[in-house]
Amino acid sequence: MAEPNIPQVQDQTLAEIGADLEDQVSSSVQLLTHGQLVLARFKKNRLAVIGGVILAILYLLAILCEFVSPYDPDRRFQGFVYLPPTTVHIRDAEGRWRAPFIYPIKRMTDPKTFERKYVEDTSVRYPIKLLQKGDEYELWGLIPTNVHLFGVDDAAGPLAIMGLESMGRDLFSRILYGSRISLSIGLAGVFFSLIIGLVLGGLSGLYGGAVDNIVQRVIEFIRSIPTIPLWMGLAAALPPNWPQLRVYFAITIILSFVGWTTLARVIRGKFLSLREEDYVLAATQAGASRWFIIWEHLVPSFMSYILVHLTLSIPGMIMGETGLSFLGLGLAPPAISWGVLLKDAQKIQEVAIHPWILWPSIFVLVTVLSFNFFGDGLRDASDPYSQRL
Amino acid sequence: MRGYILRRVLQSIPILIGISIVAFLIIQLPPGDYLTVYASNLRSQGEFIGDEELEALKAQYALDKPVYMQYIRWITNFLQGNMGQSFYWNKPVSSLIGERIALSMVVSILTLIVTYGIAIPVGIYSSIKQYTWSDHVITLIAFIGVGLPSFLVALIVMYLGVKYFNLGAGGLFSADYLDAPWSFARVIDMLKHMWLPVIVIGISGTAGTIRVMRATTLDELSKPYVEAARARGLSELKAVLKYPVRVALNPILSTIGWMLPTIVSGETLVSLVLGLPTTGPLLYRALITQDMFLAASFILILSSLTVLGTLISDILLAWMDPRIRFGGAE
Amino acid sequence: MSNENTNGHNMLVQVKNLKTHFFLTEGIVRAVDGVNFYIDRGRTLGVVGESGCGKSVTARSIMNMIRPPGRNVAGQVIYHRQKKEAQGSTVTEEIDLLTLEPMSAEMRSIRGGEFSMIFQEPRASLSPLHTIGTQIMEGLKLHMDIDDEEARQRAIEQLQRVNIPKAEERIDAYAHQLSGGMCQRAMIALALACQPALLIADEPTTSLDVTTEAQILNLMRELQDTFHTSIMYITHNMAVIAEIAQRVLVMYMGKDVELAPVDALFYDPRHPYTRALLRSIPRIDDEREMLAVMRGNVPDPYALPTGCPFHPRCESRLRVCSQPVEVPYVEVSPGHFVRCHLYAGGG
Ligand SMILES: Nc1ncnc2c1ncn2[C@@H]1O[C@H](COP(=O)(O)OP(=O)(O)OP(=O)(O)O)[C@@H](O)[C@H]1O
Ligand SMILES: [Mg+2]
Repeated sequence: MAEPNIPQVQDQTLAEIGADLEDQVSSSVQLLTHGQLVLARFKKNRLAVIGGVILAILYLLAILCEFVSPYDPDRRFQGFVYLPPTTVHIRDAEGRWRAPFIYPIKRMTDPKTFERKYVEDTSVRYPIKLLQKGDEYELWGLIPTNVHLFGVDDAAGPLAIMGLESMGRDLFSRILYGSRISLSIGLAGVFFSLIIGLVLGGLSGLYGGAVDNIVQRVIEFIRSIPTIPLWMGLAAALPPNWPQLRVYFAITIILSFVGWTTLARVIRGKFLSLREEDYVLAATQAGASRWFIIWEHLVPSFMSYILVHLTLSIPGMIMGETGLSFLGLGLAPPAISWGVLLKDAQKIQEVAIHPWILWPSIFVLVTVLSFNFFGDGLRDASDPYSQRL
Repeated sequence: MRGYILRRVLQSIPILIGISIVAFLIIQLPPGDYLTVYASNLRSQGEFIGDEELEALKAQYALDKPVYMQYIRWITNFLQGNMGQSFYWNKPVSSLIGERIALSMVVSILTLIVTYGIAIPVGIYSSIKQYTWSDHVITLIAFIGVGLPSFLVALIVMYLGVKYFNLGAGGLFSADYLDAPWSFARVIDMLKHMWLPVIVIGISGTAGTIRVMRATTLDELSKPYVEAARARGLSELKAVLKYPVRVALNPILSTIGWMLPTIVSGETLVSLVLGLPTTGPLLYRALITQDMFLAASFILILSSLTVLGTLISDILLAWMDPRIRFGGAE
Repeated sequence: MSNENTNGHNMLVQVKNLKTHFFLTEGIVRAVDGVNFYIDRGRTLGVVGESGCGKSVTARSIMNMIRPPGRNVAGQVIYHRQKKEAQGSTVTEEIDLLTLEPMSAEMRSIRGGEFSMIFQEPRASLSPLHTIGTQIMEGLKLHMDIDDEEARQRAIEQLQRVNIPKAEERIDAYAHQLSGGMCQRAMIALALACQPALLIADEPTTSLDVTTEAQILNLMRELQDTFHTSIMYITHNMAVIAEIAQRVLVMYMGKDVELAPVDALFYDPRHPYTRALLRSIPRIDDEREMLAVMRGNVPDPYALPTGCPFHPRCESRLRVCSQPVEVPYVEVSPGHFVRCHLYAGGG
């Protein structure tokens, strides 16, 4: 405030004098910027920090998946269908400590039951090497190479740390490749929701009247129907001959079809309430254009809310894609996503015998929980007075 | 109050129309009109369909008319109970979906009841015991529970059940009652199988509701009217249960409005994994086989029932809240 | 201190060295830290002080309704309870309320029955989901041995007594259907329903407009004359104090800095804080351009200054004021007490 606060009312009460004093105190104490405060509060929330770190690792793995995964995701190990996760040893048969190594696997058929069995051949050791040369790939489609973060000599047979799946492909490599789609679809979906939500919520709050009414009814409509049957219906209606990239975008749009509604509601509410606020009024009177005001004043004022909201709606999108692909209504092979991988787990008898095919679900769970922890911490940090719901 | 009910009923009419349009779109979207699909389906089963019959069907579904006429024909037929033909089962849709939708609704409503039955007392307890270790534990569990995707939980529960508890492959009935006609014993048998799906479907809703209940009760506990009730000499339990809890219950119960769609939604997916004889699996098969009349009918009825359920719960709640009943605040 | 009935007082409540602290993770808040005063029968004690100085906590301590993390760590709240004997004579017994369990039956019968309280925000103090009648009748049935019918009748009478028109209908109204002034009237009706000996009014008119405030003040005075109720009136507004109170307690940072008859306080304030307080009230005949704003700020409640808590802002500070010694509590003239080193010699 520029001018000194001269009370004009006749019976200014002690409360008001006290409040003025408090204002002076707090303004002199606020040396930290808003961003620093948010960061400081966020760091105090241990779960949120852990969530953030896990997410960072997962996204890093997705970006570097060709390099980190030991094999090409489509490489089939003939004769090793449903190979259980390979045991990595650090002690050899004589009990000596060694650098991590594996024994090659031999396939045997039980003479009585004719069941297939995999047995370790403990006579040879194959150490796990860093920067092992293996399947050819092009990193980000640019750099041709064959160096993988880790691996074993091909003679050792598959190094399948999460087992092989129904067609003898390495599950771990496939999960890493799948994370590209599964993790990015959440971001893409949230991006679409953001655009739809901003535009419709903004129009609704800015113009009010008939526009507002229509948008509100549409939102009510979408929120009152059970989403999954609707998603399933829409996804199933996609032409089966579409290329996977187009399906990917179609699925994203189907997922955002529901996601934008909450965002639009809040943005509308913000616009409505901010329209009334003094500084907006002041700016209008000072001749600022409407869009300038929106950009300069309104957007920053709910930026943090939008960020938090987006973070918290990513897990829903990831789950949506996983669910649809799991059912075979979303993406389909040759595309790889966690949902596509989980399709194998549809038959519970298969799961009971080869439980490692549930690994993708663990990734989904961890991702979803991490996003929730992270987003919740972000919300508490950015707005400590908001209700913790 | 009467005005509120009227407004609320009128509001749900466009929603119902919207749902029917979406359902119709789902029939329309796949390439090729469904008579061709129907005919080729029959032919693949070795049956033959004559031109006359085709013409008759065409007329029945108004296929020679513009799309909006087809919609009107479809929806009037639908409202008269003629929901079209399932190509896959080669039966009228209405004969296929009745019991499944009923069971879906039973599971959903039971889940709703269990959700609130658990979440409300736990949330209240947690808020009264704020910052004690029991509150911390409840908060953490609820926090994790909110994020759990129910169908993955179902998958893992199924695996554990098969692996360690020698449970069968899910379902709602034991073998003896699977195809038995409805009887009291069958209902009991069903209820015995119901707890697992109910819990799996209800996890995230329960966790969410606990958090909301805790937060709103805490909010109310600090309101002056609670202090005023204590200052009147009320016992602590009575002061808490009669006032803040009663007030906090309202927003909670009013979330039934969005709980029901979420639960029905979760039920569809979970029932698929757990192999329940409800809508999920049949809807799924219908979608996979492009049996669109069946699929659309499912979606239309399921959504409409959800909207009606929400409507009824809203009206009941409004009646409970004097602020709405007497036309004060919304 | 000799505040016995012998020197002309007819005390209802006597508060001695009351200390109420809040034990928070951030530290201990000494919200009330050694407060002494008394309330006479049928009289009004005004309580003033800056926001956060512990007025409400004092009030809640008298009602013995401090809840964790707060605790009464020291002091007494002595209630001189009058009982009618069989022969018609009255006997006075003394109870230290703080020795009673807060939720015991005896304490609860005093709370709401013999002591009652009204709050700053009348509407927020009424449940949004219950009629005002329900809430008045609840108190009546709790403290008196009467049935529903009679309770309802009495509730209507109470509402009429506080000048609520159409009381027979308004009894079934909800808080949101009444204006702020009406809500406060209802609160007063509620508080006075059981004819309490003490009414604690914690800023009851702060959220009301000036006209309504005047009406409520008049109403409280009338009711006091009729029922001979003692009132502890908490406010920020010195004008209101002048109008309603016979004695005034001035608080600063949880301490009682001055306790005086109302005239003595306005015309002969002794404590530097009281003087500063009175100076910061604007007057119509005032020629100063700016109000005298007290210099300095309210100290941090977690880190009180040593010695007299007011010394950093005090104009007449002595060297001893910042020393960690007990500040003397002096009766400068009969019934006029000050806690200040300036009067260490006895005024
Ligand atoms: N429940 C509580 N928990 C923690 N601290 C409290 C609690 N209640 C009061 N306090 C602290 O006690 C101090 C005195 O509070 P109190 O409400 O008595 O002030 P007051 O004089 O009534 O102020 P106001 O004029 O604003 O009502 C404050 O510093 C406050 O923060
Ligand atoms: Mg107060």
